[in-house]
Parts: sequence; structure tokens; C-alpha cells
Amino acid sequence: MPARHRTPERDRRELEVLHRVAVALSQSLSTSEVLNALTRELVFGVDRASECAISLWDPARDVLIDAAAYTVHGEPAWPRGQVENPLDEYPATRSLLKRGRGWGEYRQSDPAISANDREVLELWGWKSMIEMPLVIEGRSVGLIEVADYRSSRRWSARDVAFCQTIASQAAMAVRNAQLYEDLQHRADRDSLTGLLNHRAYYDRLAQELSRCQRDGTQVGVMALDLDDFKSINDTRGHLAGDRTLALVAEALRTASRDTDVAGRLGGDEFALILPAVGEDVELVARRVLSAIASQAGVGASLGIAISQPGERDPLLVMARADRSQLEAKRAGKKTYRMSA
Amino acid sequence: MTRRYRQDERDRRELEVLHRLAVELPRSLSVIGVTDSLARELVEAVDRACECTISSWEPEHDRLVALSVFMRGTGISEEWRGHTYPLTDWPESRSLLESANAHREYRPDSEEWSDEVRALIAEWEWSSWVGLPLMVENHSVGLIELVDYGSSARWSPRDVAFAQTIASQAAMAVRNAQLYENLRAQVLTDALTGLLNHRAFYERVEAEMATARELGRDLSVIAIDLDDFKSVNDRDGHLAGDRLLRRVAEVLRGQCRESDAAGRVGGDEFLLALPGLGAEVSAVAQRIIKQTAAETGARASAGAACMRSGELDAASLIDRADAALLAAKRAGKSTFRLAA
Repeated sequence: MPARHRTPERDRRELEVLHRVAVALSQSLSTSEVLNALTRELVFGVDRASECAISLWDPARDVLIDAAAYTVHGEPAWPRGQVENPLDEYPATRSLLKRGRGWGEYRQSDPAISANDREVLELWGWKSMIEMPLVIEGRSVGLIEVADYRSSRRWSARDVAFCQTIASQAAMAVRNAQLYEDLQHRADRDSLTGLLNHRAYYDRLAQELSRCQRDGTQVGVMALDLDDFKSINDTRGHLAGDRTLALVAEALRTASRDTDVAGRLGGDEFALILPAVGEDVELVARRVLSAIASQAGVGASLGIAISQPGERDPLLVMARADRSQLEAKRAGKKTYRMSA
Repeated sequence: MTRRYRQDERDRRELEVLHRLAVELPRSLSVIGVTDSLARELVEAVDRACECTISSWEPEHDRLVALSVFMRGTGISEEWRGHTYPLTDWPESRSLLESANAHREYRPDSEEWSDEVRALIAEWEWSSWVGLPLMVENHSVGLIELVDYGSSARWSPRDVAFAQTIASQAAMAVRNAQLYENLRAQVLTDALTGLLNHRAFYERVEAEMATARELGRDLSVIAIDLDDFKSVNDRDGHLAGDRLLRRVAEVLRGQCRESDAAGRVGGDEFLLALPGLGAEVSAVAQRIIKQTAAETGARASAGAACMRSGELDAASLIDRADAALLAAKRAGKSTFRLAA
């Protein structure tokens, strides 16, 4: 903020806004909530801001992914979420992100504006817009756009600097949320195989059960137990055992459908959630058993259970799959059984 | 901040402090990092504060543990960090924390202090101080004390109110750091024993190998496995088995130096990493077998390996310790082998 623009009253208001932004952003450790709060605070705190949108940058795929937006009329009416915008249509924005500093301005009244940019402004009803990178620890992670519905006059250096100050103050809150979510992801995984751990598996199964209730579909579950796993540990050592477990996890991933979710529940116990399962469940079971045999070189016994209409308790479904799995084991291993 | 105390200039300064705090506090996701900044900012913002002590309240031990102590002129004191204060000596602080009241002013001549406490206060040269509970989501989690070395005059309501505003703004940063630290512990430790889990232990060995190469020092890994663990589980039940595992973990912790790392990486398999130890690791391993038998009654076998020059991979070093353990087990139980 250059000194010559300073007036005590404005200064004070800006400080109040900055303070409020900081308090608002520290309330959550979820990235999407923090970004939503940031768009809201920019609209409230910056005089000319009619709308603010934030998208996250994926440099590998050269796209921006919509993450949060807010307007003077409240939450925007258009669908938000995973809309991707390829950057090859926006070379100036791409180079702004690569630089990681500075800002860009687009105005309908600017005679030099490109046809493409003008079209975008008109489409959204933006008279003018400024964009700046969201920078965390020296790297751009996304783009902040602040739009004015009413005026296409130039944005003052002071307005831009104020937006930048808010953005840089938000960086730590965004970083903290990202660190926390990464850790959360790790906390849900079994460290040896990368599959869901016991707690996360049952959480997920409960979610799937209530979802299939809404969709009117059925959830299948599989309980697997390796045959004679203990002898691998005892004769070839724990590391050989660990390697076998990792190979089994890999086999589960390759043999199951894209929508299926695999978990490791304990020692050599694995499980699969199969949302919206139908006739194909036995096919998947046979594929899983043969993949485990060929990729991990061990046999497994597998039990299948299908959720009943109205069933919400993940423990009950898994208990049926466990019983079928014991039957399969008694029936002579390397096979599967399905509960009635 | 009540209206009648408002003076523009002072108000502005306070806003600036609050803004700076909002930027500073989220920089760290460790509780101590946050309380260090908070203690510093309080001393700088409140004129009369010569010292600020922030301690965490452990109601289960009825004590306070100093997290951060900042003294004007000398800064953060490492010397006082971690000091514990039994609340039986400080009944006024306990009642402040329990009632979660707004604040309390103290003088050295209070009737409540014992002679020892009076002597302590005299030694610290505290003339008057204000205590505020550190509140996170409506619970007292700690105590903030602002100390004046020179004057025992009453603290102005404005100073106290400002300190309270600062403390309440810090609450979310403290909570976020607590959440992060808890989740981190959950991700890195084995829930049953509190030792490192599989992934965390491998990461630790990876890091220790890099350090050992850099410093040209030795590094050894010991693999330990209980001889008849399965029969404990089968005979006495899983709870007895879990208890035994926890007691073995206790033995290992007791035998470890500060710089060693202990992990539980599977059912009854434990691993130790011992920086600075070469072939003398044999003596340590044998002591551990003896100590485990003495303290838990369980027999254990162990294998150890010393890092070879050029050995880069944690899995390779741990693999060799594991192979030595297997050789020990074949040679008879309660035995130790060192990898060639």
C-alpha cells in the first residue's frame, strides 16, 4: 500500500477487514471451507468486488479446477465443484501462475482486450475483473479472480494491493488445511499396503450403505483371508510376509472394479466394498482369487455378502461375509462362498 | 474492548497487533510454535507485561506445564519450558481454570500462598500479575500469565480486555495445532503400544541412514519377536496378548536411549534403530532378551544387523536384521544372532 494513498479512515477499515478475514479463515482445517470463506471475505471486504472465484492449479495437466465462488447475491447459482478450465486458452493466466506474482486486469471497455477474453467477461456479466495467483510458500497453487459487475474502469493500485494483502494473509490458512487433509488421508490408510485401514474401511462401508439406500441399489462386501499366511512369516521372515501382503493389495486393486474400495482389516485379513453390485459379484470374486494366486503366489478364502434392503449396520453385513469366508476355508481354501 | 475506553490512536495500534497476530500465529502447526508467538505478541502489545508465561493445564495430574515463557529483553526462555507446577501450590490458578472465569489479578502477598510459593515468587521478582484462562471451544486448556516486575498497582481494565481479545483470537490457532499434532501422532504411532508404526519406523531408519552416512557413524537395527506369543493369545485371550505387547513395548522404551527409535511393525514383531552402534549392538540385544524375560516373563528372540557402507535402503538393513532373527529362532528360542 503506497503511503500517498493512505487516509486514516480507510486504513482503519482495511485493518478491520484483514482482522476479520484472519479470524474467519482460522475456523476450519478443510481446504474447501477455507477457500469458501476467503471468497466470501473478499466480496464483503473489497468495495468493488461483486464476485470472487478461486480455482486450483494442476500444472501437470495444465488446467484450473473450480474450487470456490461467492457473489454479492450470496452463493452462486451455477454448479460448482470439479469444472476444469484448460489453460491453453488463457496463456496470460498461465504465465501469471508460473511467475507466482503480479496480477492481470481484464475490462470490457479496454479496446485491446482479446475476443476470447471479452467473450468470457460478457458471458459472466463481468464489466471488469482482476486475477492474481494464490501463492503458498513461494509456489502458485491457484488463481483468485475478483470481478466487478458494474464498472469497467481501471482497478486502482490500492484496490489491487488490498486484494493481494488478503490473499497473502490467507495463504497460511490454506496451507494448514492442505497439510491437515494430507495427514488425514494418511491416517485413513494402512501404512504397509496403502489400502483403507480398519476404521476408515468401516466408515466408508457405512457411507456406502446409506448411499445405496437412497439409490435403491445393493452393496456387496467381500471378506478375504490368506491361506497359511503364518507359515510364510515363520519360514521366510516378516519381510517376505510384508511383501506378500503388499502384492495381495495390488492384486485386489487390479482385479476389482474402479468403483470398488479395498481395505486391510488386520494381519492377513482383507475386505472389499462393491457399491451397486449385481450379477457380476461372483465374477469379481473369481477374478480376485485368481489375481491373488498369480500375482502374490498365495491362496485365499473369500466370503461374499450382499446388503439387504434397509440394512444400515456395516458390522452385520461384514459378519455375514466373515461366516461365508469361514465356510470357504472349511470347504478347502482357494475358493469363495456367498451368504444367502 | 468497551466503548468508553476507545481512543482512535490506541484502537488503531491494537488492530495492528491483532492483524500481525493473525498473520503470525498460523505460521506454525505445532502448539509450542503457536504459544511462543502468542507469548511474544502479548509482551509486545501490553505495556505493563514484562513477562508472559503460557502453560497447559493437565487436570488429570492437577498441574500446569509451562509451554512458552517470554521475557522482555531476553525473549523465549528454553530454561523454563516444560517446568511443572502442581496446582495444590497454586489454588487460585486452579479455581480460575475450573471456573473458566474471565481473569484474575494476583499479588505476591496473597493469603493463599504457602511459604515455599512466596519464596519462589520473591525469587522471580513478580510484583503483580494477571492470569487468564486460555479457552479453546469454551474449555480452559491452559493458563496465560502476564507479569509486571516493577509495579503492584491495579491493572487497567483496558489492558486486561486487550489481552483477552488477543488470547481469544489465538484460540483457533491453538486448536488447529492441537488437531494437527494429534492426527500426526495417530498417523505415526502404533495405537496399541504407542511405539512407531511400520511406515513411521521405516521412514525413521531411512533418515537415520542418511545421517549416519553424513556423519560417518554406525547404525544398527535389532529385530525382536516373542517366542510363544501365539499361544498366549490362544490360551489367555487377545486382551492378555495385547497387555503383554504393551509391557514388552515398555521394556524396549526403558532400554532405549533418547536417540534410539522403537517400532512395532507387525503382530509381535518389534524393531529398534540404534544410531552410533556397530557390533556392540549384540550386547544391547542380549540385554533386551534378558530384560524382557525378567520384566514380562515372555521369552524373545532377536536378530541384529549393522549398516554396511554403501547400503542405501532401509528395507535392506531391516531385511538383514529380520533374517538374523529367523536364524536365531531356528537355532532355538531366547536366542540372538548378528547378521554377517
